[in-house]
Amino acid sequence: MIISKKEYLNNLLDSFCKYEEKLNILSNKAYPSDIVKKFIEKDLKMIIFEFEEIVHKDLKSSNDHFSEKTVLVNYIWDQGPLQNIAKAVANTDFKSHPLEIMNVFRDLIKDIEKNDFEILTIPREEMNFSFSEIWFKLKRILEKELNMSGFTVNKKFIKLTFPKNHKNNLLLSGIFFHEIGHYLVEENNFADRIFQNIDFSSADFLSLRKYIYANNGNQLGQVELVNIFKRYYLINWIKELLSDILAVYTVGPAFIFSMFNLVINSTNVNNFQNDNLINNCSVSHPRFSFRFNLMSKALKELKIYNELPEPLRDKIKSYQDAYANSNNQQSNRSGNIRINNIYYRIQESKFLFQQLEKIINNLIPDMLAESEQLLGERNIINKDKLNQAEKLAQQRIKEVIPPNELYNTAADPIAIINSGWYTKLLYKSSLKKRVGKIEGKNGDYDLNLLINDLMKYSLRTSRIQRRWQD
Amino acid sequence: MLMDYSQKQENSLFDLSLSLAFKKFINSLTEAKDSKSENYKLTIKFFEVIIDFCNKQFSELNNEFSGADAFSIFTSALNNMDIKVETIDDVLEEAEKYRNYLISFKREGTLEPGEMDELIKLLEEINNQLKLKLESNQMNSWGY
Repeated sequence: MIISKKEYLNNLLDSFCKYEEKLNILSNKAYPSDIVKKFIEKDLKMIIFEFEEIVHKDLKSSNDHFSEKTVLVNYIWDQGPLQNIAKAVANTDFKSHPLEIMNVFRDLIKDIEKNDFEILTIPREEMNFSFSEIWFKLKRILEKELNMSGFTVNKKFIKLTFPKNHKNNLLLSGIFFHEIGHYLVEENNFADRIFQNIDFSSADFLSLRKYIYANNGNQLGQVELVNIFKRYYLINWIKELLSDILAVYTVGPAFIFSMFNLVINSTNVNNFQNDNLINNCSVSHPRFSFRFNLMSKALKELKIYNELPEPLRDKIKSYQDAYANSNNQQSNRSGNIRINNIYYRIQESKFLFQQLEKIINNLIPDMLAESEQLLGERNIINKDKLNQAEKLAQQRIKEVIPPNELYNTAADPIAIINSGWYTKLLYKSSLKKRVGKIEGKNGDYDLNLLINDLMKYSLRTSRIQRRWQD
Repeated sequence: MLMDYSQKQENSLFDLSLSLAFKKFINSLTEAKDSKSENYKLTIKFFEVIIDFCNKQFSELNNEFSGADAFSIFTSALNNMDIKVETIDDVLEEAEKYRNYLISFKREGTLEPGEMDELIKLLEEINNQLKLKLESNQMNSWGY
């Protein structure tokens, strides 16, 4: 052995002690919720003390082998869930907490999951949104395998990261709903449920073997195909599309407009001018044209597509057309994957992707129906919420009045989020005229700022108003 | 859009838990004494979710490990034992066979020597696959 057991364990202990120091620093910070502080001081410290104890015991033992508990502790440490929690806690703070939109998510998740949870919001420099649970799985394994008990925090900790510069950009908040979709998909094993509905004996599915070569030269069997697409392409596409559906079902057109806004901002100017929008499939994502089609299908399924004002319908149609008619060609690429010690080469081409889309198309009715079931009627957008959004835009935001209520009744938060987009797309010039000074060098920046401020105020006050009304 | 894959990392904690259950169950089989019921239950459930998957019924070990995951691990283990399974029906047959071994073991407290060896070898292979899954950190390369 290059290093002795003693040296190895001392190194491990050293890492634990550094972690403990970090916890001491973190426990002095202020957090948006008291529970975070309690979590650091009680639970995380208890875990690291227990880890230290296990390693100390093993250090004292005369056995040359590591104890089972040390192996387990070492594995958990290497996987990094504890470090991940500390990193999340270290990066969350009061100032960066986008309170207004967070309350909308809180209410939504609470209603769907019926579990208690805490959200840790983490601003990032890059344009990246994410949503994931970071505590419950670790807690479960510590209780089961190390017999640890007495944790003070018995609820989920959800880590939410968002682009720092867009903290107050509620016009972009539709994207968050897609990320919540990913969270719900992961927490409910939703993608596997849908994947299982694929007809693995169908000619469509079995024809996928044409695009895959096993490096051992064998003809691919049905079982191998299932195992490949359970890890690549199909499963990932199902996850993305489910998250899109969940976002459309909760926040409706606001998600489509947010997403297009985000996508177009990252499009190269040459591609934009030459109708060359990137519309490629990848191992992780289906192409945008497929996604935009599905989004509009989801709106139609909810019977709200035709309720949208014509300019908004036209806008959504124009996104679909722009991507469907893009000149950007999918390149033929190939890549290697390894499953079960066998290497496979996958030849990507438009034919493979068309075949995958055909298979996915057969799953869409299940995806729509099960999404509806998961969310429950109360959390699904409907005609009433959209009519409210339209009125809030027309009667309130356009007149520079916050859209917090309509006819003395607190506005629905989903209607408020949509009202921002309705205003931007339907009443932009009237609002500019009304405010007067919003004209000139900053383009739409000041206008967006104004709409966002009105929306933010309204999300906050309508929540209070709803509580009074209830 | 963009997704943080940290959740995947934490999901593998269940793989570890499953692997430990298998290890403990293998020890019980080897020592020919009854396993702790939770390890037996998890082991038999592992085969049942595969059977469900083959019969197109969705089921899972917990909300992180589905029938499709178990199917993938099981078929890899069979492959390493040079048992050829090409179709889902082949897998179903194998899964039912091992499930029956487990039921017999629970009922009789023992198995025929051949069956016992087969079962232990398979469970060890499954455990190896779980360990591989734990260790693999996106080792796949993409050469565009």
